[in-house]
Amino acid sequence: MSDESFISIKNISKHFGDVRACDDITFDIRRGEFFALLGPSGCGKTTLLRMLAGFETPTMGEIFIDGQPMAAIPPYERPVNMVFQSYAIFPHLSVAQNIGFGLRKDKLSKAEMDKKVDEALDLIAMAGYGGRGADELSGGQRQRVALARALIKKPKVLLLDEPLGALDKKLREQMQLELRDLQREVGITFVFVTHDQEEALTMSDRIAVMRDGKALEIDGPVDLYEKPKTPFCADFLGTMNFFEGSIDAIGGGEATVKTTEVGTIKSTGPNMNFSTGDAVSAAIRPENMKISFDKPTSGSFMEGKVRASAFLGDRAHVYINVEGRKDPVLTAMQNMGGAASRVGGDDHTVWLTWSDESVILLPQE
Amino acid sequence: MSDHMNETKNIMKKKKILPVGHFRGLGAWTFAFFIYLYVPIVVLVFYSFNSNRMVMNWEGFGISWYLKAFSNNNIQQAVLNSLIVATVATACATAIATIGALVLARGGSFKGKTLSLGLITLPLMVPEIVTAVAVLIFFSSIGMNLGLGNVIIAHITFCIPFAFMPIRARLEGMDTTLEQAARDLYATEWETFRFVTVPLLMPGIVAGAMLAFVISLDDFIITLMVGGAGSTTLPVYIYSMIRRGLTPEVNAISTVLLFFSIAIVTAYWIVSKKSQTKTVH
Repeated sequence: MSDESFISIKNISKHFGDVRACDDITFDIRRGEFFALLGPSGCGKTTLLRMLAGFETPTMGEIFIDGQPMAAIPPYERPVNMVFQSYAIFPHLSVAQNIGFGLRKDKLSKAEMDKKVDEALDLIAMAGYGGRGADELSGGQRQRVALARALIKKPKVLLLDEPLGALDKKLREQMQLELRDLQREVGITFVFVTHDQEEALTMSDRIAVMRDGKALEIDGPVDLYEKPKTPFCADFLGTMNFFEGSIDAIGGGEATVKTTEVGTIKSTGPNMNFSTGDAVSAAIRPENMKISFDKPTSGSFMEGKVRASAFLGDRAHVYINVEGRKDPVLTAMQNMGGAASRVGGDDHTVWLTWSDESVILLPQE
Repeated sequence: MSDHMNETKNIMKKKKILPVGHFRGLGAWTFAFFIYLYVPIVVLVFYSFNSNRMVMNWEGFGISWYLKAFSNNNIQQAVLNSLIVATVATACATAIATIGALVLARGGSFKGKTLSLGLITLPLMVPEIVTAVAVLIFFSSIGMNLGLGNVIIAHITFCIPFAFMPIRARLEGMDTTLEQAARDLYATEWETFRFVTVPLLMPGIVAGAMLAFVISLDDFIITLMVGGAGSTTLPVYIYSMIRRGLTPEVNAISTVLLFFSIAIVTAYWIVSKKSQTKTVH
């Protein structure tokens, strides 16, 4: 056991009848890490979380937490606590009774119990709310109470199932930061499940991107976003323009891709471990494609016509039709000084430019 | 996200509720309907305060028939029998129904689950006279004669489905993640049951018990068949009184029974209201 493999998931599979919810997953989670399980619904992320909590038994494989095998340990003896998606606040108990629920077995005196509960209420900035009932709380408060309830026993791991899913957008953004701060404050390993890529990017130290019961890629948010290794991951985190083709030449940190739709694209970006002739996609993020109204004189570019633009306030998404390509190319521009309004109407001819560094080579699916 | 969408859907559904308030003449219909429902009962209660010997001949206000009814030893015995039967039958039926509901709602899937569910609720559909005859023949064929015991056993059988329905409904509507949360917070299966499942299930159990109690208290056909001499319950005794001639005493004792039932329902309503406000404060 080490801090590197504080939680160790080894060849975990979980089958529900013919469905393989988790299919031979192996990875480690570090001590004190804010770790996200990210993926679309049905990817097995919640099943994996529930196996960590002990609510599901793995069909195959083993889970270790802090060096201890979890197989024979029931949920109520595991050093983990969970924040449920619905928060699961006991409706028949007060806020203080909810928070103190995990302490019942500790044989504390009433004064000690009250003190611990008060500390927990302070932690979530809800001092004085102890006597309230569950029905009197707002969504954000319910979430805080669920957090305090799960943290009061200082578990080794806190599991969070879509913790912010039930909150509205403003509150969600605020809670993302608060959760992050809280995790640093208590120093407990947080493992959370989300289908929201923005949430995962904002809060986590590392993210496991999951699909079809497998963990595809595990990395920090910046690396996952900027150097994805799979087309799924590139597309799921943010958005991506894919130009399919094959490697024309490769070597010396440089590659040219002969695309089927828009001619050749040069890349000096990540993932250079391909050989000539390999089927690849040259992938470029929308924010890395800039719109130019004059024909560039140097660098990489392609010509297109504005098909439509979506104004999003702080930025705009502009869809550009490029000749020979079926789907429009998506670009994202900052609306600095009203730049979005100058893109012009439909069918306006523009040029798209990008730097070769931002072209990511990905295997084709 | 999907929860949110469901919520909006529900709100939209609510808005589409039939605007019955706009139907013309609905008020009059409703009024007529309530008259139809309650006039006989009002008449019954009214004449219970008649001081005349004849039921339908109003002479003056008096509570003499109540006093007479209360001092009637046979009525006292019948009331006592009714209460014993209803209490014991309710306790047993509710316990069995609770266990049954827990198994059917929480026991996962097992062979014969649907069949069990059907069998436990089937007595609701069986004509009471059939049950009565069947129980009577069964008891006499095995030679069982426990007096009031026979009546109690018979009552338990038909009370179970009535107690079962609200308990199961409550269980089905209960969020199972609450029980998972308890187990996650270091509560064993038994503690989870004791501290989370039972308190949350309590309104269902109370509702089921009340229903069973009222059904048992009210039962006539089965009790008449099964109950021998000495195990006469109140409804059976009232019937025998009527056969001997209608006096306001029958009205008086029926009125008492009526208000007793209303009292139970009110008590339940207050208790459930209180437990609701308790979770709010």
